[in-house]
Amino acid sequence: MAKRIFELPKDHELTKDQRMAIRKPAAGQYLVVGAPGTGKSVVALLRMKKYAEDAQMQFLTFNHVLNHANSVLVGDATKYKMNTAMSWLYELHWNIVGGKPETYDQDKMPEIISHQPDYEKLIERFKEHDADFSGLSLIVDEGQDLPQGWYEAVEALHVENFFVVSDQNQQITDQNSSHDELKDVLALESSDVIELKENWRNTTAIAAFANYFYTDKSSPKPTLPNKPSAYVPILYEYEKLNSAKEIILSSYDQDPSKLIGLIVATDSKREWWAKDLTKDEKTRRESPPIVSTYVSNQKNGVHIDFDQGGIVVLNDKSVKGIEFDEVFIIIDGFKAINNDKETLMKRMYVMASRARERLFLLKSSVQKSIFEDVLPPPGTAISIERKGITEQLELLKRIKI
Amino acid sequence: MTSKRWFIVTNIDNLRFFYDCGLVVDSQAFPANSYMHDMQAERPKGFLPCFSIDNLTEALKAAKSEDENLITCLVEIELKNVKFERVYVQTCQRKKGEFENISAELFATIDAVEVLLPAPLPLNCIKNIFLSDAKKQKTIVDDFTSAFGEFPPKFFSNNAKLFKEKDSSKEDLLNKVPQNDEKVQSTNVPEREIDYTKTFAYGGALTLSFYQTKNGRLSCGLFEAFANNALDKNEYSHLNQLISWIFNNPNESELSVFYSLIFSLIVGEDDLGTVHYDLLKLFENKEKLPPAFAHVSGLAVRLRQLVERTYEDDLDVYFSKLIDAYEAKEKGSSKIYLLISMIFIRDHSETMLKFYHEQFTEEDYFLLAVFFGLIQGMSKIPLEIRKIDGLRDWVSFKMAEFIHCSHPSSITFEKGPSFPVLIHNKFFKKTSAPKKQDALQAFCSFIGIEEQEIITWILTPKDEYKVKSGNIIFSKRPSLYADIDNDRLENLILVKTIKESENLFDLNNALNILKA
Repeated sequence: MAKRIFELPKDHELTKDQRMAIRKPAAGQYLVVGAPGTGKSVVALLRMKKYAEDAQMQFLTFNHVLNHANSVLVGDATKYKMNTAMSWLYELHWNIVGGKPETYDQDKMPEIISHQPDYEKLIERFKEHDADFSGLSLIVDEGQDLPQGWYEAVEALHVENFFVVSDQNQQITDQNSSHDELKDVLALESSDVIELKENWRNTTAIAAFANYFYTDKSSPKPTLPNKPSAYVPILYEYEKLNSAKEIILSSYDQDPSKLIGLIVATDSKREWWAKDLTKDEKTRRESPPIVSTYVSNQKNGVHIDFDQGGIVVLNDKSVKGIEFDEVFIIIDGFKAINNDKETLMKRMYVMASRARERLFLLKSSVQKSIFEDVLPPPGTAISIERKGITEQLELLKRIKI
Repeated sequence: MTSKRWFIVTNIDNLRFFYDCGLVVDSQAFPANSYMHDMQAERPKGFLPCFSIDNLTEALKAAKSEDENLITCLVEIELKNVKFERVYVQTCQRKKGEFENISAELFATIDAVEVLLPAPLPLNCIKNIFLSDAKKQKTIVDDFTSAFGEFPPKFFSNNAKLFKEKDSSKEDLLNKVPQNDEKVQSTNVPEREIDYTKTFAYGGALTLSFYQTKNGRLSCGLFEAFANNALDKNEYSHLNQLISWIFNNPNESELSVFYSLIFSLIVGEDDLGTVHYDLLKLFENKEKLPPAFAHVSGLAVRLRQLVERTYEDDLDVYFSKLIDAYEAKEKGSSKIYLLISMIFIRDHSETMLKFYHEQFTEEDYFLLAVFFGLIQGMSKIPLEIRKIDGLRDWVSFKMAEFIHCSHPSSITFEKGPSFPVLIHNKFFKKTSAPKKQDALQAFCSFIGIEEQEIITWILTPKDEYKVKSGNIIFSKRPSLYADIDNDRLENLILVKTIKESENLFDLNNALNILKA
């Protein structure tokens, strides 16, 4: 384990659009849209840092892993108010109604089903209590994963200052909002919408691979960053599972300051890999990695050390919004829902774009993965301009191990 | 010299870049799209417009013209630190955009309202930074301190008066003369094209290699030679190549050609993944390589394996094989391959500085720091190193001197900051001074070694002594010396600060202990 270089970028490393978004006044409603890697979360975090001392700023994210990663990235997290959007709403509601354990059934959040608020009733309840949070400024990361009802409920609290970052191509829940819906619910003028266009996280090779899985027909594919890299995505086809394990562990051993994300298909695989990676009989240069994992219903919080190198084993549903230096995706065992190719593409799009520097796919040579049908065929390449010369960059290299 | 106060009028975004790159620069220094429009954009390239205290309004407007939410600031320049024989100035009597080239003597007597200083200026030319808003000041100062280290007290202040727009009756002095409506053109001032890439590379190399002076006397000596461009041409051939590249020292060897090829690909490139891409292409295509280095395609095979994660040994074995193979052919020849390999293995100077190998020498660690500094430049220097006391201003001064020498200008600078303290030259010496002995003991404890590992205590009589009834009786009080085993100390420092340490060595703390 070694300290990871995990820090917010410097000003001059940001694009002008990103900086303009950060500078917008603390009061007002803004929607920042952009594809994965355009730095939406970074903009949201830097904005929180900028205004934390002046404004009553609350930072909200969709899931716990992202909230935890953001807290680490921002540094002294005690200075900032950060939570997941749903936890915050549930806690706020409980406080507004003056909830007590003995009257729990009466005081609890009105729900349609478990963990899904009945927003109409919630709005009525907020109105009954005449709750006024007009001084509050909300920054919402992954705003597309919250339904319009959530925003309407918050507006019923007289909250007027919203800074929402969103990418409708990354919706992974049924309860979500498109950009038009967000504009509508927040009553935004077009000048209040800032579009981040430059991919700023990924290398050209990784962004091009992710773009291959881009499905949103309503907006053009994100612009490729001008960052050609020696690290083109690789699909390793392994005969023995141990070879896959070895490639992950030796990758960590090469630079223990890197945080590796290992994304697997199912919970049982997640648990198995999280255990198996800690069993290593080979003598290596570096101490064994810290292997951590997280599942969305985990009761005891997130225990991933984002500022240390290590390996994090996750399902694709928990990786939204977060990024790793290197990502390994074991493509075996994924299932298509109703043979829906588009959802499958979307899932790969989200998983692949988690990788900042290196992306590796792993598959068994004896199993058939549903992803095989959607991967770029061997030899697929894109043309890039490098120092005045047109070069071909392979989308996915294949290596047998 | 004029007694007026002079200001560079800009915004916090640009100011932040000054500190990030370690120089007060003109817009040519900014990475693509990061420069925010200010009055400099309306002046000839390569100059920093400084405005007199009575001529700020227009420049303040320009500094936030690109975005009304920008925060403007006034960077007060200590003009006494800048020495010039002639300078371009604007006076109330001239049209907007027309500058006169006048002597320093005349400058002291006339009522100039703007002066164009050839860029860049070292950071120690900044006297104060004024902000308009007291509320924002704390956030900005905290932000700058955490990013760039400590600033003197009251260095940042707020002064709303300076930012007050003048009413129309007292409008800018320049408006007293007829203006033309066209875009301001300073046709009478020749533009200065400045390539900052090498300067930032030099600053990065100086800063990172200074950090390595913790390692021992050799590193301190190499650092002094590097800083003064005075390395013996017959020694340390690889360090000589790096220094020659910086200072354009003549060198036509194949090694020099090979280094130049590498630097042409990697210096100024922001992303090391791209550096790897370009280097592998160079090495895999022998045609462009000098004949003596055509065999580097063999190294490329192993580097490609590292990239694709198919190299089967660990990195200790990788470097042992590399060093043994090349050193067996020719002593010292492994060094360039060690440098190349390291940039495939560590993509950040901080993690490189913590990479330990039994066969790396003190010279190797120094070379690695210079090499990474050149590649990554000033702005990627780890914060802990940027914060070393006095280093920021000293490096800034060296970079400013370097650029005014490579892009000749009419200015020089007075009073450079003092040379940073080299701990092995200054502190690790035999001493009888109790305070210095205490400091040495404290240093041992600081780096986690037993003092007896490096300190030998020697009792030295000053005069004759007698032995009486089994007792030694001195005629004068003897001196107790602490003698340092420098070789042992240096070995232990390498182990303690590289192999066994999670964090970078805290040189500020070490200096505080040793100075006590």
